[in-house]
Order: sequence, then C-alpha cells, then structure tokens
Amino acid sequence: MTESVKVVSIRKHFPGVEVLKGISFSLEKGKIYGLVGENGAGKSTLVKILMGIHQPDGGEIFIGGKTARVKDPSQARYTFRMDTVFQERALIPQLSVAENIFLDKLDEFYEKGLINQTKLQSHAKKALREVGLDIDITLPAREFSEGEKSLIELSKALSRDPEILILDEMTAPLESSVVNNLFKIMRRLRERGKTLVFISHRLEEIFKICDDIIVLKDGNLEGIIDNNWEEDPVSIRKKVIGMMTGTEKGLSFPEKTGLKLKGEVVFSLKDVKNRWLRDVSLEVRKGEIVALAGLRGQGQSNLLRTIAGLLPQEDGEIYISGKKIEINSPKDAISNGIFYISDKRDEEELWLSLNVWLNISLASIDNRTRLGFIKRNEDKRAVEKMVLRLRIETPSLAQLVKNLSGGNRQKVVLGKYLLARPKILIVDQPAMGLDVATKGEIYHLLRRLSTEGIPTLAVLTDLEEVVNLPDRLLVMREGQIVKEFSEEKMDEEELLDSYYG
Amino acid sequence: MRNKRLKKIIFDWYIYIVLVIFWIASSAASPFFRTTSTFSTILVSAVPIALVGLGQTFVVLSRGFDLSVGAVASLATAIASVTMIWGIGPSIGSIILISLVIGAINGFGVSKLKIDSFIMTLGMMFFLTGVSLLIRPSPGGFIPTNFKKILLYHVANLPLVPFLILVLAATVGILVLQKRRFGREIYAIGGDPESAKMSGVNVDRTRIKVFIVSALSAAMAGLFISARIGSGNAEAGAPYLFDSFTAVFMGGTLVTGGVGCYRGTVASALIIASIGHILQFLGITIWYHFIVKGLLLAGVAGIQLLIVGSERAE
Repeated sequence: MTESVKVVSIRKHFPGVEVLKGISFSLEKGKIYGLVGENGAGKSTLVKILMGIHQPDGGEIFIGGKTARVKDPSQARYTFRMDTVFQERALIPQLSVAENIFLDKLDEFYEKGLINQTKLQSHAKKALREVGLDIDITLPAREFSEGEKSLIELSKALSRDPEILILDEMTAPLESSVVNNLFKIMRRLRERGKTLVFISHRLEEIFKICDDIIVLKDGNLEGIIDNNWEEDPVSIRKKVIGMMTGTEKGLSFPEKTGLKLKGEVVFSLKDVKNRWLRDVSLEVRKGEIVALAGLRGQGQSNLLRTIAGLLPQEDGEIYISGKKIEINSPKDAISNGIFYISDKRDEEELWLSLNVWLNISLASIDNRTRLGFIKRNEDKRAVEKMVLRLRIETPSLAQLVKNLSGGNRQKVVLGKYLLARPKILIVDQPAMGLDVATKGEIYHLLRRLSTEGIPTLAVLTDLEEVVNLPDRLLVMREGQIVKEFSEEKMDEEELLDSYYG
Repeated sequence: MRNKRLKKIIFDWYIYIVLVIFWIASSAASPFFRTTSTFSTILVSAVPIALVGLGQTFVVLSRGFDLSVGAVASLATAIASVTMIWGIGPSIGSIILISLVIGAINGFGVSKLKIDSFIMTLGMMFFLTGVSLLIRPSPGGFIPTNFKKILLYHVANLPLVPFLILVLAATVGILVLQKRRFGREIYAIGGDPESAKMSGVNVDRTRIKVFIVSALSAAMAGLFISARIGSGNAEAGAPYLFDSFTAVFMGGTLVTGGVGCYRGTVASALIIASIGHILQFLGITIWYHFIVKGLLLAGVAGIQLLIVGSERAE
C-alpha cells in the first residue's frame, strides 16, 4: 500500500464563490477511487487544480511523497505522470484525430524537421487499439460522436502511460457495452499499480467499479467510504447519497395534486400531424403536470418542438383556453403564452457569459419599457422578485450565469419565461443533468407553478421521474399517444409494457 | 465519397481557380495585360503583400489580428534608408533585431497581459508610425544600388529574385503551418484555446512566437519595399495592412481562427497585385480599384462558403 497522491487542505475560490474549503485526502497505488458530489461540490475544480489548470489559494499537493507545485497540464503529464480525460472535451475540432492524440509532442514525429504523417498515424492507430476504437484517424475530430471523442481522449491519456489517471464524467455519452469495456481497461490499469480517479453522475457505475468512494459536498470532504463488496450494497448507496445531499433520502417528489383540482382545460391538441407525429390529441388542465414518456425518440421531443413552432405542423388543431390558434413559428407560440424550454439548456436557453439579470430580463424586456427605453428600476425589481421567488442562489444579479450551478441555471431559465407570464410551460427533460437534491427542487418548483395556474407539459425519461412526478402520463410510441396513466401510484411493469407495445 | 473528395479539391484550390480565371479574363480584355513585363510587375508587387500576409495568416489562424504590420514595414524602410549608408549587413541585422523585439512586445501584451490583440497592435501601429516619422519625416534617404539590384534581380526580363522570395515564403509558410509542431499548435489555439491549454499546448509561448513571425515577415516586406522605391518612407507600409487582411481572408482563412492556409494568401496576393494593372490598362480610374477590391473580397469569400457550405479545408 504505497501512497501516490496526497492533497492537504486545498482551498480555492472564484469571484463570489468558495469552491474548495480545505480538502485533504490521500490516494494509494493500485486502487480505483470514485469521486462523487453534487454539481458545484468542487469535483471539477479539484481535478483542474491537480492538472495545473487552476492554482490553489492554499494547501499542498504531494505526489510520490514529494511536494508538487503543478504549473500547467504539461508538467502534470510529464513531470508528475498524471493525466485526465476532461469533462469538457479537450479535442481540437479542426485537427485530425492523430494530431489530437499527440498534439503536445508532435515534434517527436519529425523526420528531416517535418512531421511524418505515416509514423504519426501508425502510433495513433496503436493508441486507439488500446481502447478498442477503430476509426479513420485522418478525419478531423469534429466528425466523431461524443462517445468516440471521449475514447479518443482516453487513448490520448493512456499513450503517455500515466501513473495517476482521472476520468471526469467520461461515461456520460457512452453506451453500456462501451462502459463495460472501459471498466475492463480500468481494472487492467489497477492491476498494473496505477491510481485511478473516476468521476460519474451515474452512481451505479461508481458502486460497480470503485474501491473507495470520496464524497465532496459544498467544497468540503464529507467522507471516504470503503466500497466493501461484502457489505449490503443498498446500505452503502444510502450512505453515499446521504453524504452527498445531507439527507438520507434520494429523490424527493412533490405530492400529486393536479387531478384533485379539476381545473379547466388550458391547452389542447386535436389530431396534430406531421412527419414525426400521428394524430396526437391531448389536453392539459390548470394545476396539472402532464408528462410524455416512452422509449427514446418516439416523437416526445418533436411533439414539444412542434407545439413550440420549431417544427412544421401539417394538420390538426391547437387550442389555448378554448380558443383555436395557429402556430407557424416560435413567435406565434410565445405570443399565445406557450413557452418551450429546450433540454439543451446551456446552448439554447442561456447566455452563459451574460449575467443573471440580463438572462432573466431580456426575453420580456418589452413589457418594461417606456418610449423604447428600459425602465431600469422596474426591470431590476422584477428580476429581483423572480430570483427570490425561485430561490436562485447567486451572490448578486451581476453574477455571470456560467458561474452558476446547473440547478440554478435551470431556475434562471424558468425565471426568464415566468417574467413573460406564460399560460403553459412545455419543458424537455426539466431536471436533466442535475444532481439529486436540485432535481427535487425543480420538481417542487414545477408543482408550485402548476398550482399557481401555470401547468406543465414535460418530456420525461428517467423512470423514477416518470412514475412520481406527473399527474397524468402519456406514453408515446412511433409518434402516437398509445396509453394514458393517471393513477396516484403507477404500475411500473404495466408502464414498461406500454413502452414496448 | 468521390463527390466529397472533388468538393474538397475544389475548395482547397478554389482561390487559384479564381486567380487563373481572373488572369485569363484580363488577358482577353487587354492586350497589354498579356505581356511579360506586366506579369513581372504583378509578381514584384505581390511579394510585399505575400510577405506581410505570411505573418498575418499565422496571427489570424491563432485567433488574433496584427494591425501593426504596415507600421513595421514602414519602420523597416525608414531604418534602412538611414543605416544602409554604414553597410547593408548591419542595417538588415538591426532591422531584424528590432522587429523581433516589436513582435515579442506584441505577443507579450496579448498573451501575458491579456490585452486584446486588436488593441495591443493598434497601439503598436500608432507608436511605430510616430517613430518612423521621427527617423524619416519626409521620404528620402539612401538605399544602395547593389541592394536594389539584388532584391529585384531580373533574368531575361523576368524577376528571378522576387519570384524566389515568393517561392521561399510559400514553402516556409506552408511547411511550418502543416508540418511543424508550431504550426499545428497555431491551429489548435485558433480552434479552441481552452482545449489547447488542456492538451498541454503552451498557449502563451506559441502566441508570442506568432507575433514575432508576423513582425519579422512585415520587416522583410519593408526591406523589399525600400528596394523597390529606392528610399525610406514612413508611410510606405501603411497600405499593406489592409492588403494583408484582404489576402488572408480572400485566401480562405476564417476570421474566427483555426481554419485556413497560407497557400490561399499567396494566390490572393497575386490577385490583389493584378487588379491595379488590369484596371489601368482598361483605362478605368483609380477610384474603381477600391470598389473592385471590395467586391472581389466579398464575392470570393461568399462563394467560398456557398461551394462547400459548412465543410472547410484544413
């Protein structure tokens, strides 16, 4: 049991947020460590400090027993033999796969002072074989899927034969067979005495592969749990989730109150048809949360996008508060009070490098102008009220949205649309990518909004969500609604049967 | 698949197709255009554009702008016209040294001090223009005949040395960008500076080197200009600032960085140098020169995007 890395009271803050509040632990050779924590717990920052991308405000790092001051990623890789597959993919889209793999040592392939492509490519091929990937390495990296890119990055890291390897959310885009292959590679590295740190939102993966689990919470080390195979897995799981969230329970769902309210019909579709949809009819009442579910890609998301005016509607009728409306563009949907929230939150809903104030205010700014000039005080009050109402955690309205956690970003998106006084929200996977506690918060928020008169039509994928969140559930298959569930407690087996038909 | 490859070839050599069409059309339109002396003059006028464009291509590929290239060229002519009296070698040596320092300062400001390259090099442009005017308030000075003769050396009425300079610049530019680690790191930084940093590219050092290349190639252009005009002139380099950008962008390098090549810049330099001549031969006044240049830049860049859409050459 020899120590490979030790960190001692590492601290780091960014403007307005203390991300790491003094973290200490030590890692041994020949072990796989899970690093878990909610969004904003400090995992990625810790990784970036180890790799020399950020410098810590205080504390020390020891590698192989010696003090290590990591200046930059090169030093981390070559002096300290530490490498990372980053969550934000670090491939250059325009460069070829081969060039990407060896980007920081292309001069090793010089022949008469110029890069020898043949040599470069044969080395790149070999590196990719290690991770079981067979692709055209002369193509630019942008041609490949997220899953392939993460494997390319893994091969890039492995080609430098690191002693310490960190995998930051590498499995997110991978299929389960590829994940199993990855686990094989990880076990092999463990046998060879390497230290691995595995970060994943999918806790099942953590429990499956890791020896020890390091739990971070709000920038503190909450504890290190021995993932002992003999102990009851359920109790370990409970312990880890409890440490991550500070409570013993996992997901918390609001009570289903929508059906009891018996509200009037706010929104309805009659035989809506297009390339992706076949005669879809549904209604949403005041106070309800209605969900669309089913196997992936059965038309759920495209139904939302059709209602939002993003996809052409060929036939059928749409009613809002009993009045028939035409939706030919996103503008038509918005002017009728129908607000669509995309599942691509960061790309399609937010201006990450603008502040909270502007993100919430801009969409409905016309409501707060006089003679074309913005009424600044009224605008500020409106945004402040929204921040309080949704409990958005931000040091100030001037905070840039990219510095907020995923949950708070989603609340900013909701705030933006609520200011525009929607009649109905149509949301694609409202809690996607959020951690357990924040998910619960978003569920409760949606429930509160629906009781206050703004119902939700949402696409849900997670089974736990599907069963517990909506008042009514519509299962879609091949562009059609095939079954409706409206029981307080839905029968999971019956539900899954309806998915497959 | 074959169609895709054809598309790529057309895209890669598109600007050369434009060049050839332009030359054929001009030769058809005017008998004066299709003479060796015209082509010689075009070649000679293209050399400084291609040289300034060399550094500018590097800078733009790395997501930057260098607005000081014209001023560096002017400064080189001014220094040459004052110092060549003591010998050609020392004069050239001091010009190289000074341009290295200028490039390093630009690069330091942009990378270490995080000053936007547009602002940093704009300041440098004003500063150097002032210095050049101090050294050479009015055009003049001494440029040795030998120096002029060598740089403009003709064989059988053809400008051999200018041609060799063009070939050398093209070879160095293309090989460094495509086949050296430095070149590939420029593309990496232009593609995504954050990713480049995470991949272990020393972004700051590469940026500094890029601006040094730019100042150095601008200084070389300045030396060539001084040989052509036979004197020093604190404003002689100024037009080459815009010509360098025109050559870079017409040549297919994207303003956002990471996509493009020097090959295109060279062809565009030849097109830019040709425009003046054909208009002159057709008896069209100089004002139209700018109009044609503007239309050509917009047209060439626009069609480039239309041909291949989102698909872009490396």
